[in-house]
Amino acid sequence: MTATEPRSAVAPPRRNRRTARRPGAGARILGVVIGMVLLAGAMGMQSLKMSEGELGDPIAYSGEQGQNVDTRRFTLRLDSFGAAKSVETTTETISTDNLFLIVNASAKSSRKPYHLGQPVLETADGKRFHATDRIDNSLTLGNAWVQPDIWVSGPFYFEVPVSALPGAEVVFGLPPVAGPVEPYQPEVEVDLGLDEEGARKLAASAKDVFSAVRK
Amino acid sequence: MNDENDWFTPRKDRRRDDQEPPSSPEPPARRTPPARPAPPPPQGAPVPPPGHGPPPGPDLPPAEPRRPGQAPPPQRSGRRSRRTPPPGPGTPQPQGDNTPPAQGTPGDNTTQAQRTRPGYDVTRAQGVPPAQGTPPGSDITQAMGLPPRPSPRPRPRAPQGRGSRPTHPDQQVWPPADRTPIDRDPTGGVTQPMPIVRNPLPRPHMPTPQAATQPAAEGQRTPAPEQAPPQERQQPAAGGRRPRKRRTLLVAAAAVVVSLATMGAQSYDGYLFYEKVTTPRETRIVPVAAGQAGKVYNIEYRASIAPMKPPENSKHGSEVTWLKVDITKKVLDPANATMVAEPSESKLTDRAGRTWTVELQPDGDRPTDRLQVGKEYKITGMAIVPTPVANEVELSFRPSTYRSDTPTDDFFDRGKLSKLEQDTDVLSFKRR
Repeated sequence: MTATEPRSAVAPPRRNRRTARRPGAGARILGVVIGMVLLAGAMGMQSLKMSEGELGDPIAYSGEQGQNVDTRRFTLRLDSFGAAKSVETTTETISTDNLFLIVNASAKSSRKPYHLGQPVLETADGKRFHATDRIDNSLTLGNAWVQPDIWVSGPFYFEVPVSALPGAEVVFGLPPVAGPVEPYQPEVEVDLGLDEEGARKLAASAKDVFSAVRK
Repeated sequence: MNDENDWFTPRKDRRRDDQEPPSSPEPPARRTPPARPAPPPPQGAPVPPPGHGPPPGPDLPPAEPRRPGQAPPPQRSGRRSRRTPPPGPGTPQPQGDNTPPAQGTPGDNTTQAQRTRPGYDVTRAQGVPPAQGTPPGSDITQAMGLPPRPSPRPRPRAPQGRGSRPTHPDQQVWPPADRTPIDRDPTGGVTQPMPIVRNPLPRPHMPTPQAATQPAAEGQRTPAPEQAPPQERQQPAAGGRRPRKRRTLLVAAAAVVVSLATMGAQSYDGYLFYEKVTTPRETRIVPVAAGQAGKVYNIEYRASIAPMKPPENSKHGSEVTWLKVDITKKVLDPANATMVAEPSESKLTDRAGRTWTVELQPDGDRPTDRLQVGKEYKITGMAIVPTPVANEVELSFRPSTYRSDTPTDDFFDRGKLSKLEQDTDVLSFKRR
């Protein structure tokens, strides 16, 4: 008795279920469609998945020219920007076939002293230009301490083609550090507000020589 | 008929032999009748079934109907297997009339026999004394014969009635049949799957009473097999959904747990990083009263802060105050004269905890291997702070424990490096 009972108890329910569930053709097609949609949705979600590095990407605060952008660690303002065909440093005058984009920014911090890292120029089509290394860091704002309640200002220099300017924005952040990278560092995005025509005008108004040496 | 009976006989005989050697006469009478009829047939023949038919008919028929309700086990296990299951449970109750509950002693065959066939046994036991029925062949006739002789016949008939399935008689399982006293096992000790109640009931055992009644009504034997399957189906169906729900719940719970665990692991990893990055080095703050000297590693430090005139090329206005920081360092112990390095992490801190950096620069030339004991070495620094806090900021720095005589290799040896003095002390100079 005992041996037979459990078997019978298990088997029959399946029968019932199957028989009860036999759906019509329409229901089946609907089920397939829903399944495909769910599958597609799941695959679509994968495209949104962030990679390992992206998970720790900086948190960007965006603003406009002349606006103070507070990242809570530091506050930054892009004062102005201009163009030049060559830059005079303490030792030499550097020229370029492209264009020197000179970005003047001001910054202060809220609690601790920081140095700013060299900014990045992001073009409208996603290209990234690092600030030029042909001009020493000591001549840029990156050399200054950004300290609480003390505004400091200075230039940053990019060497970029004119075609990169329309729709470009400048991203300021903290300097890279060796060792483990802190996730969610703050950064400031400032749109230069240049369109094709603005870029052309900027390029046309470029100074022949810009002096990076403070006087 | 006879054949069937013959089939029965051997087994029944065995039982008797085993169980009731002495009283064999009686039990044989009861059970054997069908089996032995073969020999008796001659006897039986004279006593034409038809003639007796009527008398036995009444007696027997009742017996049969009772059987379902009662426990046929004693007679034929075959019946039991089919009918008994239902009757098993039922038997005790209905029989209660004939068989007093007190009798229920499994050990006694007689008692069992009596129980099973209340009417029969009683008659025999009472009407026919056991002494008479000795002859094997006449057992039946004797025991039953005198008064109830008809009974032997009827039994054979009973099989006939069942005749449709004469093949089954051998189903009797000798020991279990008798053993399964109805009292103990609700199923009546049946070895075959029991018919289950039609109505899906939560309890599997409940069916017995109903089943008992049903088979009895329908025809005792046939109904059992048919009914059983449907009932079985129904019951399992009811119970079958639970496991599925459980499984679903289990999967859902597992998904939640796994995702939580993943998030937890990532958060913990992030926290470890945060702790490593933000937690300052091991630090022991050594406060120094205003105007006093702070002593660390047997080296004496003094510090003073004074406003200074901003340099010519200063871009800052009056909102910023330039401060000049003067530090003197005096080695008190020749053992520490090799600590030549300048302090680090020099900074100014206001009451709110905001900090400004101080850039230090040692004054003049100084020995790089060994400082003179008791001589004051000057270190000058400059800082800019917002004017509002110029009078409250306090200087702090971390004296270095570097010794000039430390082999460079030690800095690349993890073991030796960890044994070096740790610069945990931080001097904090109060201004008031």
